[in-house]
Amino acid sequence: MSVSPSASETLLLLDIWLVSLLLALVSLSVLLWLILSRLHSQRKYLHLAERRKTLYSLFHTALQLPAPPTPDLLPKLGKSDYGIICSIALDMLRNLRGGERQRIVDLLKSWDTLPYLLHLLKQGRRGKRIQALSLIARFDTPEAEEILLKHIRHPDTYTQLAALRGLAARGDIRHLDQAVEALAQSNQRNTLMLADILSRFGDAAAPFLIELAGSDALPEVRSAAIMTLGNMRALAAVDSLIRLCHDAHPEIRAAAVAALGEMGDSRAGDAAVLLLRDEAAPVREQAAHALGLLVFQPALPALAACLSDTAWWVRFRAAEALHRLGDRGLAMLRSVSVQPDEAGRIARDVLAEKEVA
Amino acid sequence: MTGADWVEWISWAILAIGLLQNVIYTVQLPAAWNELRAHSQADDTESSWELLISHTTLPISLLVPAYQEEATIVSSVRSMLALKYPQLELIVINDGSKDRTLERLIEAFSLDAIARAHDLAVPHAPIRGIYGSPAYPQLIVVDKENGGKADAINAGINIARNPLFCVVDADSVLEGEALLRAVRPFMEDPQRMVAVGGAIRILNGCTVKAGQVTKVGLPRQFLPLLQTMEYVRAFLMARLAWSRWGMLTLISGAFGIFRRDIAIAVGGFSHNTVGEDYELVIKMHRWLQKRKQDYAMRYVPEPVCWTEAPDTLAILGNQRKRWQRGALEVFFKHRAVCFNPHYGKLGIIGFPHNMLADVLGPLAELIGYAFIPFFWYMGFLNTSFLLAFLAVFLIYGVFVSVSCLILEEMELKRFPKARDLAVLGLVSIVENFGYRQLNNFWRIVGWWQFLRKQKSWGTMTRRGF
Repeated sequence: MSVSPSASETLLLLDIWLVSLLLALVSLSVLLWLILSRLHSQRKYLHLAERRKTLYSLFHTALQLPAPPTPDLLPKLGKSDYGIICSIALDMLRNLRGGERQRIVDLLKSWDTLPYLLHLLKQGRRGKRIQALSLIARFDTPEAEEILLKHIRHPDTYTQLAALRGLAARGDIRHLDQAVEALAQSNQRNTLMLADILSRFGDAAAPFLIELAGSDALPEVRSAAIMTLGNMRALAAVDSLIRLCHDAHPEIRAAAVAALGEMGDSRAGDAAVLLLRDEAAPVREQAAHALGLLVFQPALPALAACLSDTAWWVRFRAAEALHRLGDRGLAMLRSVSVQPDEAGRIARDVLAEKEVA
Repeated sequence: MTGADWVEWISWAILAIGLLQNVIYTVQLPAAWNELRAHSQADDTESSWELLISHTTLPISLLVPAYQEEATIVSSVRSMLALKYPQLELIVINDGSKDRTLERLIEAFSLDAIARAHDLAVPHAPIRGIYGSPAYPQLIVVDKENGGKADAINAGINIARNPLFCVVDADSVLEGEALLRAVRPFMEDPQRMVAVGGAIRILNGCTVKAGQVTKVGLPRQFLPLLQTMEYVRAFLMARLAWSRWGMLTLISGAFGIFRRDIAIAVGGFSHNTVGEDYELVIKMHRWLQKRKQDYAMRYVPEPVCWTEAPDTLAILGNQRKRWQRGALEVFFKHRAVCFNPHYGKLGIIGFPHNMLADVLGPLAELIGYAFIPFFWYMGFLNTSFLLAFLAVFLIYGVFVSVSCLILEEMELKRFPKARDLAVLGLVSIVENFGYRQLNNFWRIVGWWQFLRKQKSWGTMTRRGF
């Protein structure tokens, strides 16, 4: 009994053997080359580490001088030094404040690092691009501003955030309208990071944020604008946010009522009470939470009704809000706590947690 | 059919299965590379820094199930409390330990009994007490009756208050910035992202100080060294590729971040399988696909959880048999997904691949090792067939492993020395001659245990670091 493959089958079998062997040998060769490259770069790395120490000392010395050193006093840099000084500058800028930061930036300018940073922007991968933008943002030149404005439309969302962060760091809201337009058209979805950056523009950004919140941008972008308005306690936005409590997107309704709760303006109370009956549980939850922050007494009956909501988080936030309403809220919680149902259970649990059972 | 026909049919079937697996590995490599390049966080120190200082992260509940961990629990908790993450709640679940795990925690962190309102969203064994500390407001300790790891995690899910949770083993070491890196996909795509997996790497051979890995090194023992290569292959190639294709079916229970609301919707971690982490992900897929909800799951290679690898054959064998049992339990429980177009590409490609890798693959390989050389020796098959078999099941594995190392070196460079790469390069050759076959044997034993409905976890003796 013997199986004899046909000629084509034999050829296929031998091809499998040869291709596998070839691939294994090629991959081993590539790995060997990488190992040798690593050995070479390990030596180079030691040299770079020494060079970094030298340049770091230079930065420290420059910071301690009474006046910034002029370019002719600074040592010339080699090609490989630019990466090191930019890395040192980023490290130091994270830890320094005030005039010392400006000294770092002046050093970078004296060494004419801008062409290197522009090269990184063009050729570097995302991480390097963001580092370059972070440094360029410190340059108080029209060219730097132009670069940042160009990159607020970058298709990579992290690069866009870095450019916006850079604009915010310059404390200049002249271009906020362009930023808002860019965001309205972007696919930015990082609500939290965007909200943090928008808040760095300061109170003067409120009108732009109100516009962005009501635009037809992605819900994530609008939510970021709303969140920022809440964090800023921009009372001028209250009416707009109350209108947004009726938005078609549940994320927007939730964000709007949450922001109104942060602002603490009692005008939002009625709108929040209405949202306790919203079809989306996250909206109801935020509304209950907001009513607790607002300490809106007229909401007591509606909050008590929410203790029987189907969603645990709505029940929990309603119980917490009742607790915040003071004696009347506590009395309501205690009276419900004897019930054998879910409302009674959440009332008991929250009372126990707040240690007022 | 004659005897010769059977020999030919079996031989070609085994070869075809092996070839198919190799083709899949081959296409995984460029997919993994593309995913790395598209989402690499390797150079992006600025974004991590901004996340750290701005406190604009999504809050995470870190769930740490603990059973009989009195020797190491306090140091583990201290290291987790030191993680660089602004909004973190650490929930340690003492799963009915018979030693002094709970007492050690109470003493070390000045814990008092507290009340904590929570939803009984997913079932678990009764909770005996909940503890907190004014000195460590982010720490909650849950003491409950023993119910197993899945049960303990479910208790943690109920107690957790944050929208995301991450399960970490009590004896694992999370890198300081691991959560900052792992949370980013959720922040980038908050509406769609439901689960993110991070990398697991082998702790053996590394230097650990104050609960952090201060120096990365290769294991000195051969078995953990082999596993180091395995983990590089599994996490750097397979997970990245399936993440790229939107068909990630396994997020390791040792380091995964999940949306709490979705985990609750699917009933939490299942008690009746040893592959509870795999099963959670499949349940999530099914639930979301049924609702035609647009969602995403991603694997991120930069955040690392270091874990101790077994260093004896007995313990390693138990682990691999358990993994195989878990894979089979989950596959057969959810077999309705396989080739089912209602589950989209998961049903047509992803889950059938799991069938190939977990169900058919080990059997085909075993039959191949048993019969192909025998058939050749008896003259039933010619040498070209034997060579092709060796190529598919031995030589090609070298190419796949070495390619993963190349990917690691080009994109991540986590091994500090050139010597480490050289050693792993040698391992990637050696592992195919003996270790791979041993693993296959364990997988077959796992198959047998599955058929006999065996449930135990076996023992994992940890040396600690």
